Amino acid sequence: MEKSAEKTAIIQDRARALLTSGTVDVFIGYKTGSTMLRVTPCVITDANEVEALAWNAMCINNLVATLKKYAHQRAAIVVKGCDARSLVELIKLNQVQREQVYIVGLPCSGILDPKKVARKRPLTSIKAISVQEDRIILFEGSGILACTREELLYDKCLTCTHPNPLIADELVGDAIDEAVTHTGDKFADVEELEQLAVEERRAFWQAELSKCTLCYACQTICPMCFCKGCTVTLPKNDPQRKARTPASVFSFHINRAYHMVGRCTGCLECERVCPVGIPLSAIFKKVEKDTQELFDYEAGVSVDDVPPLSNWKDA
Amino acid sequence: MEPDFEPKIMGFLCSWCSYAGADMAGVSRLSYPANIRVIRVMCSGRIDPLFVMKAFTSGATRARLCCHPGDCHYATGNYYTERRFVMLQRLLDYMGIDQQRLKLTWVSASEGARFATIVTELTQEIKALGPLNLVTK
Repeated sequence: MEKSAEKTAIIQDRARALLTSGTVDVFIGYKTGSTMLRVTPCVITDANEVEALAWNAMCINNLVATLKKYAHQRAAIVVKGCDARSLVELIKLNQVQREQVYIVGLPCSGILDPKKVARKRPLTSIKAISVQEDRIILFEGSGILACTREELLYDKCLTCTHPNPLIADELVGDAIDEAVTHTGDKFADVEELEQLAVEERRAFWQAELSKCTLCYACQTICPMCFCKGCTVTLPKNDPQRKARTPASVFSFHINRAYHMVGRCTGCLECERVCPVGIPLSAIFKKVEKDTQELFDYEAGVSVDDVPPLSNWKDA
Repeated sequence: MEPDFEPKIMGFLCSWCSYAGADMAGVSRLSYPANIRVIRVMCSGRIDPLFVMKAFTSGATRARLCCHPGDCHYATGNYYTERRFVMLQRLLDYMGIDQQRLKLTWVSASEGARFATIVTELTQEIKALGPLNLVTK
């Protein structure tokens, strides 16, 4: 807890200094929301408002998606290891100018999944959280509860290969050893699906995707979906959007997945915001896995890499 | 499988080789199944996966054909195609659309007979697989 308070203080100091000196016009960070376990993005332009900024083990939002709103301003942004990879991709794809952003990187050892926490304790009873290397401690009014990382963290945090931001102007806090965060097999569920017969996979996806309401929340939240007009979404008045035939749902998800080849960095914000709980991570991890297998390419690692589908050499 | 199932096959043919190959098949009076619907594209690199999904969601199962590697009119178009194709095929298979339903084949302008053989084989394969059933609920 002390650590996150310390980091909050550092972030606030940096925000104050950057905004006062005029180095940046906006500062994009987090603030605590309605309860202890909810944080929301927070954008400030005035140095007097820095007190609102916060950092804790609930800061899941990938703020990089917010950057496109401030495209013509100099912005400072708080990024975790996973978010930094999205930022690398956007810089590579010329969506963000590196010199326009000041990157405050936060090494992150894992973020708590409110759904998992709720299974342990009612969310409102928790007063503070401490994330340690081997366990997580929840402080309640009356006592404490120690849990394992698997019990509370987001699934993606258990297989995180880049806990430290790969791109940053400064790091807040000490770097974290990958061995702490990378404990599971990232592609286990993908491999499980791959083992099935094609008809079984079809049945699985048909069942999962039949829940899809084509609300496009996954596309809206995605930092990599930066196109101004999208060719794979249907307009509001399109009868297919109401009918939601397997054709329209499959074609949306497959096309979006294909467009993410070499782009998706696995922040899995899409899965987090999906209101009906479709396991979108299984689609995007498949894309990531294939890109690695076929082209030996990992998205969001270096701004100098050539995207795999824009290059045909060494195929 | 319905006994009288006649598949629709979308063929995206590159203007310089495969389309000319199909033309050659016609000029040579070779017969091949009428299940293929041909769309001419200037280069197989022009084929967006959107086209493929559009074809599938409109009730087709498809193939695409282009020049032999190294023979592309635009030098490298079909190399790009190949990369895209592999990714898309794997993704479709993963989502439960059999990878046999999507095929990339090379046909040059002089290979009319090859074109006819490929279309015949494809039609047989797809008939064995049956309809895709993606259009209705």
